[in-house]
Parts: sequence; C-alpha cells; structure tokens
Amino acid sequence: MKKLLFSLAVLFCVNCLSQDKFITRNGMIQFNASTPLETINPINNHVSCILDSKTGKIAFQLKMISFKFDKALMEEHFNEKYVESEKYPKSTFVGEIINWNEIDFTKEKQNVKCKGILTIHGIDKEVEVSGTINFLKNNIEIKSEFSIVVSDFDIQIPKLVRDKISKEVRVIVEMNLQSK
Amino acid sequence: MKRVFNIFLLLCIVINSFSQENLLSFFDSEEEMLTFATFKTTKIINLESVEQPAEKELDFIISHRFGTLNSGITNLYGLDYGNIRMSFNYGLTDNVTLGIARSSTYKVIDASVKVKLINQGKDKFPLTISIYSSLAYDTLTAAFSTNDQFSDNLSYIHQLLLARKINSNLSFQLSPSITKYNFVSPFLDLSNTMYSLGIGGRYKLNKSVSVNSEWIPIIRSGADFIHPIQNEKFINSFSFGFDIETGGHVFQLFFSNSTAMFERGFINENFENWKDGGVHFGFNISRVFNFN
Repeated sequence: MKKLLFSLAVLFCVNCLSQDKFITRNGMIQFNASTPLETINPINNHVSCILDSKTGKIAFQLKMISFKFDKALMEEHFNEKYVESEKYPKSTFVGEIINWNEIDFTKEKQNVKCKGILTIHGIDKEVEVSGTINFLKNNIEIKSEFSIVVSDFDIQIPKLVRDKISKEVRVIVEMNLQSK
Repeated sequence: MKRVFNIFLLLCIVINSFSQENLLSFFDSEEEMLTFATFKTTKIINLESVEQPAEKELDFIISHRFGTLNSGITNLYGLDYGNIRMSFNYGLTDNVTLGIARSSTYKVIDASVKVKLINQGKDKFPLTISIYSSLAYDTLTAAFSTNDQFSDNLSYIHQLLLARKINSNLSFQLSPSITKYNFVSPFLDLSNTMYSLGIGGRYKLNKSVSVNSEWIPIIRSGADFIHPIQNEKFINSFSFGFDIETGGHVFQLFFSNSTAMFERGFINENFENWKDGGVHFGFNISRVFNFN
C-alpha cells in the first residue's frame, strides 16, 4: 500500500511538472522605434517563452542586453541610458490567453487575445494584445504585433534626441514552442 | 497508514500549487552580464580608457589644447594659441583597435593598438583589462641627434589599462605605463626609459554628463625612483573636466596642465604647473562612423 501510494505520488509529481508545457529559449522579439531621422530596429533572438496548453497561461522573458542594434553606440545608449539594463536586466510578460476555451487544437491558424502584466524597466503595466496561434504537429507557433508607449515605462528620452526616437514603439513577437 | 496518506495528500497539494505557480520559474534565473560603458568614450581625458569602438566602426577624435590661462588678457587667457590632434581609431574586432593620429605639438605622428584582454563580469572577473601600445614618430629633425635620424625620432609607450566600473555612475582606472625614448633631446631631462602610473576616474552626474579626472605621476626615471608628490624635477599631468554625450558625439571639455595630446608628451614632457596657473583649456570631440 505504502509503495503504491508513493509511486502514485511520484507519477503525479512528474505529471504536474512536465505535462502540457510548451517552451522555447530562442524566440524572436523585434521592436521598431524608428523616425524619419533614425532607423531603430533591433532584434532579440534569445527570448524565452512558455505556454501551459491546459490553462492557456503564458509567460515571456528576455534580457534587454540581447537586443542587437545596427549601431553599437545605439545599443550601448539603449542599455545604459534608456532601459538601464544593469538595474533592470530582464523584461517579462506574464498572462493568459483569455479565449483559450474557444481554441480548437485541430485547427491551424487561429486568432487569440492575450492579457497580462508586461514588465519593462521595472515598471508593471497591464496590457491586452491580439495575435495568432498555429498548432503544428509537434510545436506551436505564436505571432503577435502590438504597440507600447515608451513613457508608460518611465523611460525618459533626453530633449536633444527627442525627434530621433519614436514615442510609440511597435513590437513584433514570433515564437516557436516545442513540447517540453 | 493514516500518516502516509496525509503525507501523500500534502505532497499532492504542494506539487499542485507548484504547477500553478508563476511560469517564469521555468526559465533560467541568473546569467552573467558583461560590464559595458565603463567610460563614455575611448579617452578619460588624455589617458586612453578601456573603451573601444565596436567592430567595423571608426572613431574619429579631434582634440584641441589652448594656451595657458595665465597668459593674460592679451592672449585671451590662452585662447589665441591652439594645438590640434586628429586621431582615427578603427575597430578591427570588438576587442582590437588600430589607431593613427597626428599632433601639431612637436609635429608627431603616432600609430597605436589597443587590445581588450578580459571584460569585467566575465566569469565574475572584477576588472576590465586592456593593453595599449603606441609608436610615435617626430617629424621634426631631432637636434643633436646621432647618425640614425629615423630611429632617433621614434619613441614607444606600453600601457596596461585596469578598469573597474563600481556602479552605473562610478568608474576607476589605473594605467601603469612604460615610455621608451630611442633618443632623448638634451632639452629634456629624462631617461630613455620612464615609468608612470596613470590614475583616472569618472562620475556620472546624469545620463548624459559625467565629471572626469586623471592624475599621471611619474614614478621612475631610468633606475631612479621618483616620489610622485615631493619631486621637484618632473611635473605630473593633472586634468579635470566633463564628458557631454549627445547621441552620436561625445564632447569632452576640461582643464589640464599638459599641452601635448600623445602619450609620451602629456605624461613626461610637461612644463606648466597648476599652482602657477599654467593650465590649458581643451576639448576632445569623438564621432563614431559605422561601416556595417
């Protein structure tokens, strides 16, 4: 009896930890803060993302320093002056896909809405974005595109370069999640 | 039996709550981050800093040193005189920089190489360490020189740059240096081999402006050790000023008792003293060009 219970517990444990999780560590997030004066279009190819396919809960995490810019000086200023990567090295999103119950796992591309807390520069902000989810054989593809306002995250742009950096930033998200 | 069952229940609850918990816990927690932006630009003031242009980038620095403040209203406190240096530094890789420069003081051309050996934060290493070497050629004919004019006009400097960024605002650097003269002009009372210890730092006042200072005592001339403060013979370089960064440019505005803008000159060949007002206003303007 003891043995049975123990093995049940172990089984349960393994179940809970591994079941239904889809994960990636090299997702892509790109943002665009370009203006007619300056092209600012960095890309981060080391974004982590995890989706719990049972509940529709989803989380993203990236290191700010992994955003690669065309100009090294711009990258340095981004990290040193704007997002202060030494103080706030990571940016995260934790939330859930709100229409998860309506999702049909057999269909391919479907529209989803996602709501949660986006944390950049140490500031939490509730956001709601829409995107698409695509169920493939062994993996799940997630795509989204949305805008954020720089000042919502207490990121200050000096007067001198105010015309060079867009106040609203377009964010493009592309994840390819594998079953864990 | 009941106890075992209780434990089982407890386990289930704990594990369940764990699976409900923040999904972020599935990601790796801490990873190393290399220190960046120890200084705003490749120079502290006169001294080289551990900063370098990135790969395929050209850092163009134009520098001026005006006359001394004590030269009076007739010379507008030094502004009537100007020494200029133009310096081109190209990033061969992120860690190797090649430079060439020309200074109007003593009509010197110099070629340099800077190599970063280790970056602060790599395997938790506390310092950024670079080496800097430069070869200077005086295009003026050396007075009283020996037969080999070309060789006599050459001098070398080798520097070890040890920098630490203490926090996001405060950085320090030590630069022990050796200067080698192939031929020392009799107008200079120097040995062929001079040793010095550059000490520099910066403090950021806000995101775009920092205050910088450096002091470069000569500590040994040939075989003789020199007291950095009490010596009467050598005048050590001391500079104080500000870095102002404007996006694409860095402006460095400062006061220094050195006129020359190449290593050998500003370390060893100083003739003016702060206490007599022998101070020069000067600036460096750095602009980075991208060849990606």
